[in-house]
Amino acid sequence: MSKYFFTILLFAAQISFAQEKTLFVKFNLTYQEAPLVLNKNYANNNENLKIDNVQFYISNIVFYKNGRLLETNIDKHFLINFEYDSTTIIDYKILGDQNFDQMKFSIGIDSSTNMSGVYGGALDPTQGMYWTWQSGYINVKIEGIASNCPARKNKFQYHLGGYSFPNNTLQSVSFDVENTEMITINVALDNFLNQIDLSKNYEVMSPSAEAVSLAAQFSKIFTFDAH
Amino acid sequence: MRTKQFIVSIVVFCSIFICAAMSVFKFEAPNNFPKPFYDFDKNPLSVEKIKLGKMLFYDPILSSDSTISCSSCHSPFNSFAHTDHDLSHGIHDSIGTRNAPALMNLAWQTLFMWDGAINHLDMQALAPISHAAEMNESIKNVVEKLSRQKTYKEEFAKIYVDKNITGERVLKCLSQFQLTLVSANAKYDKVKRQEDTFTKKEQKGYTLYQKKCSNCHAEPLFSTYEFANNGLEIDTTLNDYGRWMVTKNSADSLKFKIPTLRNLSFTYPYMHDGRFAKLRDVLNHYTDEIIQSPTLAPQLQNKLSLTSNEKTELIAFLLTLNDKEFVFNENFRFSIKNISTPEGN
Repeated sequence: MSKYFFTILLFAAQISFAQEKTLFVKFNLTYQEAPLVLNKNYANNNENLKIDNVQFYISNIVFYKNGRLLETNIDKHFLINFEYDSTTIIDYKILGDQNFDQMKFSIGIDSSTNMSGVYGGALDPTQGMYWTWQSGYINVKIEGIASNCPARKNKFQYHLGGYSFPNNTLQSVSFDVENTEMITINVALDNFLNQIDLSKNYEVMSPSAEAVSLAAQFSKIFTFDAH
Repeated sequence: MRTKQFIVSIVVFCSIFICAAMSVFKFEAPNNFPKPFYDFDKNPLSVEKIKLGKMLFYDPILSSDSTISCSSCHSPFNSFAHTDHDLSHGIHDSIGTRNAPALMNLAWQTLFMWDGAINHLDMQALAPISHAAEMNESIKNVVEKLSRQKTYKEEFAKIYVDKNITGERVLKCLSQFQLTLVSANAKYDKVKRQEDTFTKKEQKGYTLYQKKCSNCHAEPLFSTYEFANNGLEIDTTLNDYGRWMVTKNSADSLKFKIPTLRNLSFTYPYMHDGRFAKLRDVLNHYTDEIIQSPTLAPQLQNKLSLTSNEKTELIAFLLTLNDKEFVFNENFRFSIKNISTPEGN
């Protein structure tokens, strides 16, 4: 018995010593084609706009070569919070020296994770990305101030979440990418906000059809940076 | 190769050491109960974590002004419910909108709160901690407060190698204590185990229960834990539409989680808004006061017919669901040495 146990342990140890390649994925938040500066005043169609909080979850990152899924060795969730630069670069390990030409990931947390209790790290409810009055992760949080927003103190708040039909806000995106160690993904926030009338639609904070459509809209502003 | 073996030995040695520091708590499901729903593999019970969970459960540090603990509304002497109040009250004597439900046999439940808004026991505590009329606090701040306390720093360090206090750990420990709140030693259970027998009256009541109540309050948990509209007149001071407020599906309007019938004598008043003070009021509702509406439970389309004598018999049976060993179990109670020292001490 103990001999088998030892063999299994040794096998497990060997896997962890197998060649790994670390990839980095960097998320660049942009506004009007320049890096977005939080809390900075922007002019947007004659209105003043300030963005003070942008956070989202990235999960289920996978890489492909000619449509074939590459083996990966971690299954992690990442919380990208643009207030902290360190969270905007994530590192991801793939096994062996594999080439890839496509990547896919989800924006948000899948329903199975949403329904299986509490987790730590990026998923710890202390991160402020979990609803308390009703179970569920907030997949995307965008908050700011716009002069034409009629809410108290002109604040707009989008807390996009919901994991079950018909209000599942999880989004999946896919890009053709170059086989580099640092993959840069641009997130052009102006393309998201320009499609919303901030004078009418400024608070979405629960699972709803509106949250689903905003989440879909948000996923379209992710692009692979070819440089 | 030698390096690998060395590392492996270290790993093995460390795991043995870590395991030794914790005493596994074996969760035993009563023989007459189904398989628990809670996934214990994801949160393996240990004596130490249960103790820490109990400490947190009874500690008002979870509230923003350190006045309200979980036990404020879930008292062990009331089968972890809140008696004397139709609607439970929290911080600054704020009154909520519902009656705090009794806590027992939680490992067999999938959705929590009267409207099922919470999908997992681990996440349940977040709701009362954050609610402005309950504890008015955030889990982030709870973790920060605990991290400043000597007692908690020591308790977490005994359990977790990295000594960190995190939201995940606080919530899992709270689940651990609550999972141990198993009530299965009522007279009913003893009769089922052939350690006792029903009186004639109780037996008649049992037969009536099986005919009239067991569809929704199914044995042995005495609830299916599903959601149903039991024909209560809407209270216009609350306008509480129950499950609909979560799902926004009109088919769920006025549906509430079916409560267990266990330990009824200890958990009055009854219903989601505590509108009935006595068991007999509850039975009178089912025989005389059912309000018709599109979502009314199919089982209640016709009012229940029970004579006054039958009601007495039914109540005699319902009283056999009282589990005094559970309600007076000292292991579940607050102990003065559990309380944390005030901030800064």
